[in-house]
Amino acid sequence: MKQGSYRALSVTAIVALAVGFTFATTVPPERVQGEFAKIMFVHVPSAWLAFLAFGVTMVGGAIWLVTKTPIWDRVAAASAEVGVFYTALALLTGMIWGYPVWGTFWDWSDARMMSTAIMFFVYVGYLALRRSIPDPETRARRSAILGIVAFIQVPLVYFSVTLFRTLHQGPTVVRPDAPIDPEFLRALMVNLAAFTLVYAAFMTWRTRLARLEDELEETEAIADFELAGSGITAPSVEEAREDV
Amino acid sequence: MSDGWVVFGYSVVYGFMILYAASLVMRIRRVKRRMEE
Repeated sequence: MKQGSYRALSVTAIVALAVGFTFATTVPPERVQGEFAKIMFVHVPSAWLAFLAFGVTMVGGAIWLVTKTPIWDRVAAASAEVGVFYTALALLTGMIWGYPVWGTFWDWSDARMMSTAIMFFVYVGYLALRRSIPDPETRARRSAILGIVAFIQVPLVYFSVTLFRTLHQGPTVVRPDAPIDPEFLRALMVNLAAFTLVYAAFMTWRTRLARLEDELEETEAIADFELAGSGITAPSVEEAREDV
Repeated sequence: MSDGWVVFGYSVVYGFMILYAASLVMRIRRVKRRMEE
């Protein structure tokens, strides 16, 4: 991908965010929650993008296990980092919304909040695992397996509101019995599109960083090998005799 | 109170997006500099 394409995607993402912000702030206050409901337009896309990002990590890891092509390992790693970022945003915005509406930032007994927090820490662990293994192939294999296994949390987090009794509200958008107001749905979808573009922009930059890091790692490995090689001299019988 | 709280929520989101984007740019620059050395 060319430098110009990176910039064009980033600029498009910024414009989309501005459009999303305009849509979010111009909807009328919600009947019960008032202005506080507007936090949903950034909270919900953050959570959905986190799910998407961890899905990409799983797919990237699975493709790497089959093809052993480095690019898929980079895509998986990049998406995990961006996914952790979006999960953090979802947690923070959820807390900011929860305090005025529920009266608390956090509820330790809530299945949605706790499962999301656990998911966040598992993927932080995924990133830590990657940093702890120096060999590229071992790192890619182990993180691919973790990326596939860890994805089981995504449906668990999503269905936690229907599987358990939670303070967190149940599914709102996909609910035929009580459909969301069209104006709210429009603002939500515009912000979802904007957040998806931001995800794509972050992914291109983060994958590029991963490629550069791999190249640097390779260069340093060659330099280290040459350094070790220069320290070893060819065995000489003559020199050995002189020592005796 | 509600307006300020919503502004705070949006500031957190956009603020962290700017910080993460800046961190990516800085990390790319640092790796490039190390490659040149």
